[in-house]
Amino acid sequence: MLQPTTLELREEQTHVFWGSSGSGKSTLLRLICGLCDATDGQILIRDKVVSVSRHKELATQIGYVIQEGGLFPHLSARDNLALATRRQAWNRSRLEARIAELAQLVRLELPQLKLFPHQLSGGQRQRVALMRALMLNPNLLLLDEPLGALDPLVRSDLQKELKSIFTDLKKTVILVTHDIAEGAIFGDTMSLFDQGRLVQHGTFSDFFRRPGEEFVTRFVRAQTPPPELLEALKV
Amino acid sequence: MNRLLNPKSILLMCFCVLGSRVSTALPVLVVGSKSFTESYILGEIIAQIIDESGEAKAERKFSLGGTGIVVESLKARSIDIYPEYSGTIAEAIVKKPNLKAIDELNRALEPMDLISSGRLGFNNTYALAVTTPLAKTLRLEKISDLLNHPTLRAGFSHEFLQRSDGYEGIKKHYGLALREPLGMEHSLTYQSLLENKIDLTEVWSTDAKIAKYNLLVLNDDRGYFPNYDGVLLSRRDLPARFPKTYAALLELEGAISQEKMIELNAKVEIDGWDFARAARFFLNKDQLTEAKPKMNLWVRTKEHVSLVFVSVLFSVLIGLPLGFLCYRKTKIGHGVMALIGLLQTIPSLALLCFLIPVFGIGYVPATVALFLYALLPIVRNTYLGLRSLSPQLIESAQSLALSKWDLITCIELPLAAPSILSGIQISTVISVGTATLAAFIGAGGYGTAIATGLAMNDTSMILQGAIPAAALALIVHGLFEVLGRLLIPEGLRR
Repeated sequence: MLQPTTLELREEQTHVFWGSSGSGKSTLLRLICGLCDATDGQILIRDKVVSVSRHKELATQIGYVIQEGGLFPHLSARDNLALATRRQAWNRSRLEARIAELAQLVRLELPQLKLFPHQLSGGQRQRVALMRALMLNPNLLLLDEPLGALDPLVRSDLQKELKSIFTDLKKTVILVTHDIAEGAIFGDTMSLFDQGRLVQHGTFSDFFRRPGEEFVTRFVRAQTPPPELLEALKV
Repeated sequence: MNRLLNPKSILLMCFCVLGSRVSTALPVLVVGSKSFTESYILGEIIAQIIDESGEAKAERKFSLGGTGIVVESLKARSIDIYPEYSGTIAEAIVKKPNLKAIDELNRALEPMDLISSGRLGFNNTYALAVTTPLAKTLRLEKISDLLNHPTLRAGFSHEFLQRSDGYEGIKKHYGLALREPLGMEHSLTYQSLLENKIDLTEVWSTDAKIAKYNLLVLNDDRGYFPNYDGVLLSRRDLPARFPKTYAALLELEGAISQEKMIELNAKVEIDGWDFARAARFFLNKDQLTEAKPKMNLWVRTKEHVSLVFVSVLFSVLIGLPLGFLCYRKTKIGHGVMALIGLLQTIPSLALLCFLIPVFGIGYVPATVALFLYALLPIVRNTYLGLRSLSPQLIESAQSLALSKWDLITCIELPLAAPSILSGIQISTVISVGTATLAAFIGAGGYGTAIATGLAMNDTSMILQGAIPAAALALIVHGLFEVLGRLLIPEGLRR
């Protein structure tokens, strides 16, 4: 249950939805890509109202990576990618070209795409999932805890890589995480949710300098950001 | 074995099996029999007389499983005639136990369009028997003599202990005060008697083992046991349709004495003759020993595989969509699942019996019954396999905006494939076993050997059916392992 919320997000920026599990972040993502309808209120993308009836159309404009990637275990990585273009009348060479292009972007070797998800590492799976979301070159990219299941070292490397990919792509990205530091790395803006309510929206430093309420302070202090980050922000 | 795997050739075989009865110029008269030695022999005698008469050609539908199935078959015109007993007609068919005379029985049979011949001459009733040495020692001749020996140990078959006209009835009728009798398998009672584990048991009065084991049948001096006189039971229009044949059959009236019947039973059960030879022997034709071609393993295998394959094929065609429907519409699903579960609880012989009025006997009702039994594992595994798909994957599929058809064929079914396939495997392996019961409604298969073997108490005959059936179950199991490799997506095999 999401509480009444008004939130405006600018294009070509990366926006982070923060909050502990059950805070309503994932539900908001589902609403944004038209997987479910809101009982009250509305979501507008470029001034057009989002609804389930527009889901098929929106799917070509929105790339959505669910938690843990959502790759189908019975299909090879390549077939997972091809599935995203199934409703488009793409010929083989166009498909291959797009796959090659994206593989280069996320730094995967083409032979690796012949493997099945369980034969890939956690990091490789996330790269494939990202490729799948980007297949149709959407304007908006939704990522639900994209790095949640990775071990810390891989996670840290991939964070940097993703950050540069997002910068290069110039796409609007909404990234859901419960990790403070991850939010800080990616987010041009952050929105903190608690139990379905938008608590605060702003830049990372706003959350430290101008916490809207007690909960914000507790949330950001619960996880200590890396020292260099604190240094940079001069909290 | 490779040709067996080809679905086309199997379908072709089914049609051959179905079609084989059409190709004779003479009209066909179908002879039935129950699944015990005496009934087989009498059925053979009837069939040989029919063939002899020249009016019709006999088709044998032997080893039908019990009175219910034979009578239903007769009513449904799936068979025309079979050997029966006057007592059974009174008790089980017209359900008027007091009727004794054939005329009375025929009046009661008229509404069912059935007619009985006169008595053939022998009376195969229940009787009580002891070993001859014991009878001599204790001077036992008749049942009332038992009153003087209350310490005798009796062992009876479970059926005899339960029937109203069995032990309870005779105990009351004679005022017997024996010790609590042992309940045991009928085939074990003879052995127990010989080993002196028991002193007294029940026998069928034309049983060849009476002579073999030198038993003495006690005289029913106070007339308790009803008469089970052998008769021919047929459809009422038979005498008019085949007058010459029926007249020839009526010559059997009074022609088979008690001793003759016991002798014929002994030829089969003790000397190992086949039924046809015993029948020829009775009809004085044994010198013409053109042996009937024995049903070989290949024919039985074709019948059995065809039964299993066709029934499971239909179960898959119906069960898979049904399982899918249950998954999509959970409310309907619960109802469907309960209904199919209920089908499973109907005993197989009872189900076969219900199907006779609709489908007759033979291949079709057997396939229908096997189809119904095969449904549950297929529907259930399809439903559960789909239901256990992870919600994340379903959401992932939705986010790709796949069409409904793609969602089913590219995502849901392949992901549920291991569960669905194992459901089909369970159904098929079970069907291989259940199909042996098809013999009881004349559908052939390995069950034919098992039913005949059971009737003759011939273990090697039973094994001729049971071993191939077990082997077929193993082969089917192996085939599904191969099929699993072909059908289950590589990424799901770990």
